[in-house]
Amino acid sequence: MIWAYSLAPTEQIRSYDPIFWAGMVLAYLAVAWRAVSGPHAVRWLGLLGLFTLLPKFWMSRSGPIYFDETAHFALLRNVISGHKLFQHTPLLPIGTYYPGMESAAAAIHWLTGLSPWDSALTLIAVVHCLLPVQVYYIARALPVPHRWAVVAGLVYAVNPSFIYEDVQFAYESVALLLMLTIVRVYLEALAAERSDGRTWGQTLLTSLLIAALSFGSVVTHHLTSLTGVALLLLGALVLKPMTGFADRKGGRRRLFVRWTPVLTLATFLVSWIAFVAPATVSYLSPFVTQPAHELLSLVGLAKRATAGGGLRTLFSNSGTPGYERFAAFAAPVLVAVALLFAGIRWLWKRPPKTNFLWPFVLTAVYLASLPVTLTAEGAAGAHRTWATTYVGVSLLPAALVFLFGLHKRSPWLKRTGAAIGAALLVVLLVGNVTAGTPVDYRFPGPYRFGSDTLSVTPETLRLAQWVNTHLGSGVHVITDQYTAVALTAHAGAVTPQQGPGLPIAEIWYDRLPPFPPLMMAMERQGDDYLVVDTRDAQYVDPQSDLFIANEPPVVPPQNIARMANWPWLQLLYSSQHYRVYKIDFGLYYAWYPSHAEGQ
Amino acid sequence: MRSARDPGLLAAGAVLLTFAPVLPGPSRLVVLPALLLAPGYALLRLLGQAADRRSIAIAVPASLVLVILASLVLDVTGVPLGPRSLGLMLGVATAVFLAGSYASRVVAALPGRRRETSRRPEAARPGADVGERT
Repeated sequence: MIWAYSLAPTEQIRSYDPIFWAGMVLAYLAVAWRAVSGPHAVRWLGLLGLFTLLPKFWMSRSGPIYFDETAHFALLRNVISGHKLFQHTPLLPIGTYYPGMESAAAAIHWLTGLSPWDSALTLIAVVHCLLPVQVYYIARALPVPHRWAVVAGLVYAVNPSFIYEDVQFAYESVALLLMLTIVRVYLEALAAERSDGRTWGQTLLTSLLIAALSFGSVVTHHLTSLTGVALLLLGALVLKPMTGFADRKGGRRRLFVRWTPVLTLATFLVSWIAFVAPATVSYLSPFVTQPAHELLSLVGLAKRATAGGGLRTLFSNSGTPGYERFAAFAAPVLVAVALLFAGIRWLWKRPPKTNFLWPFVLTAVYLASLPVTLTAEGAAGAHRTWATTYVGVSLLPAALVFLFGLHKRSPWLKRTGAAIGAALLVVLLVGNVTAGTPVDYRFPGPYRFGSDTLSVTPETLRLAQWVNTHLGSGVHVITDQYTAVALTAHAGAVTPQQGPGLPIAEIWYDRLPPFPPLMMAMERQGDDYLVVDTRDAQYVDPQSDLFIANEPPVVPPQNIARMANWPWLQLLYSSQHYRVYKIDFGLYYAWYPSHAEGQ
Repeated sequence: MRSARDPGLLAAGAVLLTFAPVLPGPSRLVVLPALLLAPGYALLRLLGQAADRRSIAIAVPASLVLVILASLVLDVTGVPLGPRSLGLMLGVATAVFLAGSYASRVVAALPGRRRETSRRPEAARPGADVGERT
């Protein structure tokens, strides 16, 4: 793997990609073999979690490079320097109201003396290696026998978000573990009800533990907590023991065990959004309404919002090898076929002691979310649900084995089944990573316009160093999204983004000079500097937005050139592609009336 | 990992958390396992949950949640967050949870309550397979 990452900056993907996959497949199969057939299965699952940190670690060893990671690291730096929570970064305004992960990383920094970035990596490493372990215990609580619970942990470790997304220093990475822990404790409490082995006192104390974990999850991430409510609600409706609809005849304690965690998590989430983070509603609603509208328009039930629609093209310009694309298309087909077989058998057989309806519904939700990724607005939201819904997929092997009685067949058939299972695991691994993560998030490489990971060059780092040295950390800079990520990560700059009251894209795209309301808003915020990347007018990347969705395809070159002639912009720094201007607002207000028409 | 759930070491974890700011240089790294394990295991003991090896995947998230709660409490009450305030709060919380767990055991061992407490939480956990060594 190290070999692959050393080749990646200079070679074509087809030369290092097979090396990368050889290392990954070898590690997965070795861990699978040891975990399934030997002792210490949970340790092996934890080791797999630790190993799968490596690809992303090689991408961002010394600091954040991904957009989300940069935003959260800016929040962490602000918490550490300000000694207070609820800090702000323009890259992720909603992150202000969910300070759980930053408070944990800051505590590691303060109490151990590790650097902020090492503290962030340590936190994510600990959390990540526990994810497959937690899925193992969730399976055990259903109850699934040990060996097939191990398989569930392994399958979960090939989910599309596992290797590059859930290892980022981003709030869902931590919240995911908290949510899975809640689900585990909940399922174990229901399992104890099956054996009738708890007293009311123990039940109450378990509910207290779930309440504490629920609060931690809610304070950490909105969407993960929401999916957690859905997971628990589904569990409450279908998981055994069940007597009557919603277990009405199961007795008071069982009713308490079944419903209290759902209500607790839901109440915490609603209360937090209502009293602390009301902006969450407007933040999340476009992720639901816009894809829904786009999907309805696809089937002719709604009008298209934009001329081009919001549809994405799969693997356009990605350069991924053919076997990756094949696996990416094959992976959901395999899941769908497995669900179909298991579902039909389950309907036919209805085994009384199994709890497979819960994972079946989760798998169906995962499959239903796949078409949403075809819409531009829905892709991000759909991706973020997969780490949750894949819990259901991870339980499909156990369902197939027990519903079809494969564990009772001859040793030869078992060995053949194991070999086929290993091959399918590899297909899922390759396909899910390919489908879930763009190439520029997976490997380093040459400069690529419109990529937050590949647009940072030595020239960018020199710019960041100059900004940090001459303007200071915390300086407010108006710039495009990709320069903003670099300056936030490497110069500690504050980089306001396009918003309803701050239409900064006008400066780049509009034929006319920026209007006074925009300049007044910038002056109020102390946005004193403008940084321009001249490549904004040279390159076009239809997959990436410089400022906002549905922006014009290209920045007119004259709009970049005119800045040198505006007297209210003072050039402070110039390199091959970057210009840093100081904004003189007083001069602008005097200049604007005579130049409002663009002369 | 057995040592991590030992009450004596949990108490040592509480002391480490409290005095973390005065530890010199790289030696402060020893606070990391205390931070990730001690508050969570102490809470599990207080709540009568099984504090065995299998519980590490609950103890670590519980520790993180307690760190988050401690930070929020300090922040809301206007105390600046930092190694001293956070270390003291987490150390004291761990010690209180440990003391609480002992107190609850003493109360549970009183005559007349033995019958109820004999149903240990471990008995209610979904049983490990024979031969399972995790």
